[in-house]
Amino acid sequence: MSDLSSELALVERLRNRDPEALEAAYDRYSAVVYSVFLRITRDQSAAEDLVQELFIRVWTHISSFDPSKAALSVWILSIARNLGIDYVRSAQARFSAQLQPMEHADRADRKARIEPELVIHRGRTVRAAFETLNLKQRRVLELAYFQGLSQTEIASHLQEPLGTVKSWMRSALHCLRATVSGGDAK
Amino acid sequence: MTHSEMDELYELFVLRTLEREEASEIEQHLRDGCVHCEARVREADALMAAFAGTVEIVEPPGHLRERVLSSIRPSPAPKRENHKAVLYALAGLCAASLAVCVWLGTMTSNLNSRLSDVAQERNALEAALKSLSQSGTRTIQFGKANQPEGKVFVNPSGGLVFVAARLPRLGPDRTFQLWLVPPAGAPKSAGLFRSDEKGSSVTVSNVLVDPATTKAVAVSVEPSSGSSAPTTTPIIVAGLE
Repeated sequence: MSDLSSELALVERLRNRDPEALEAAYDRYSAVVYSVFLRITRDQSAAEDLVQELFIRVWTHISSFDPSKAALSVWILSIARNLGIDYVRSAQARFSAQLQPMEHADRADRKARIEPELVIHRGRTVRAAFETLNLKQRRVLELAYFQGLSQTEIASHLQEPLGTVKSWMRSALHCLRATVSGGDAK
Repeated sequence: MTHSEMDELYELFVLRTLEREEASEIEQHLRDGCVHCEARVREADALMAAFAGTVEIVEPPGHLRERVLSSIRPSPAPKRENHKAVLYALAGLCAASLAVCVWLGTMTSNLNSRLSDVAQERNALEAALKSLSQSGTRTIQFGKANQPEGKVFVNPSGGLVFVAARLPRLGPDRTFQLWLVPPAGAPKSAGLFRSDEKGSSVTVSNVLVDPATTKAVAVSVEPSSGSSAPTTTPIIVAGLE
C-alpha cells in the first residue's frame, strides 16, 4: 500500500473511532511531535503534556481534517507547532523557571530509531536545504519557527535592523522553497 | 499588498509570526476567495511542516504511549455476566437468599458511602460559600482559549477556593496539586484535587494565603499521592500581584 493510501486509510479509521488507528497514529507521529515540542519548550514534562494534548485534538477534531487540502502529517505538525508556541507564549511559561521539574530524565539513550522522512514529507530535503543556509539565515528561521517570534521581535532579539532581518528571512525562505520545488520537479 | 509581496509572507503567515496588519490583510484576501493565495498557503503549510525535519528526533519515554492512549480511548464495555455462573448461583434457594442478603448489604453500604460523599460535597460547598462571603476576598481569573480556565478566590484568613474548567484528563495514577508560589523559594502545597468527567473542579483549601509572601497560585500534575515539591511544569499559574 502506498504512503498516500495508507494515510487515507488511517484517516478513515480515525474517523470511525477505531482505537487501533489511534495507536497507529501515535506510533507513527509521536517521536516527531515529541521532538518538536522538546525543541520548542526545552522541557521534557511540558513536551509530554503537549503530546497528550495533541493526540486528544487529533482524536476529537479528525472530522474537520480535509485530506484533499493537506497531508495528515502536515495537519498534525501544524497543530503541534501551534500548541508548542501557544505554550511558550503562555503565562505558565513565564513561571516555569520557578517550577522547573525536579528531575530530568537522561534522554541520550533515546535517540530516534525512526527515519523522519518516513513521516515528514520532504523533511530530509528541507533539512538539507537548511544546512546550506548561513548562520544568520538559520537563526532567523529558528527564532520564527521554534520561538514564534515576529520579524520585529527577531530584530530586537538579535539587535539587528528590521530590514536586515527581513532580508535574511526572505532569502532563507526563498532557498527552502526553491529546493523543495526543485525536488518536486525531479 | 500585491500578490508577489504576499508570496514572500505566506510561511510567516502560517507560522502566525506576521505583524498584525500584514496578517489581517492576508486573512481578508483569503476570505475574498483568492484561489492563487489559497494554494500558496497550502504550500507554505507543507513547507513549514517539513521544517520539522530539521529537528533531532528523540523517542518519547515509553510510559507516554499508555498515558496518551488511555486518556483518549473509550472505556471498554462492561463484561457480560457469565450465564452459567448465574445459573449455578440461582440453583439453590439458600444460595439465592444469601446472595440477596449480600446484595442488600452492599447496596446499603453503597448508599451510606454515597450519603457520605454528598455530605462531604455539602461541607465543601458550605466552606466555599463561607470563604467567599468573608470580607477581603480577592478574585483572580486565569486561562486562555483552549487552556484550563477559571477563578481563584483568596481570603487571607479563610483560605482559597479554586474553580477550574477545561482541565486535562489524567490517568488513575495522577492527580492535580495546588501550590502557593512565594516570590522566592520553594512552592508550598495547598492540597490535591481531581476533576470531573467534563474537566471541571471546585476545590476548597484551608491553607492560609499570606498575600505578602504569595506571588501566585499554581497547579501541576503529580503522582496520585501528591508531591512535596512540583515535579512537573505547572499547567495553571494565577498571579496574585
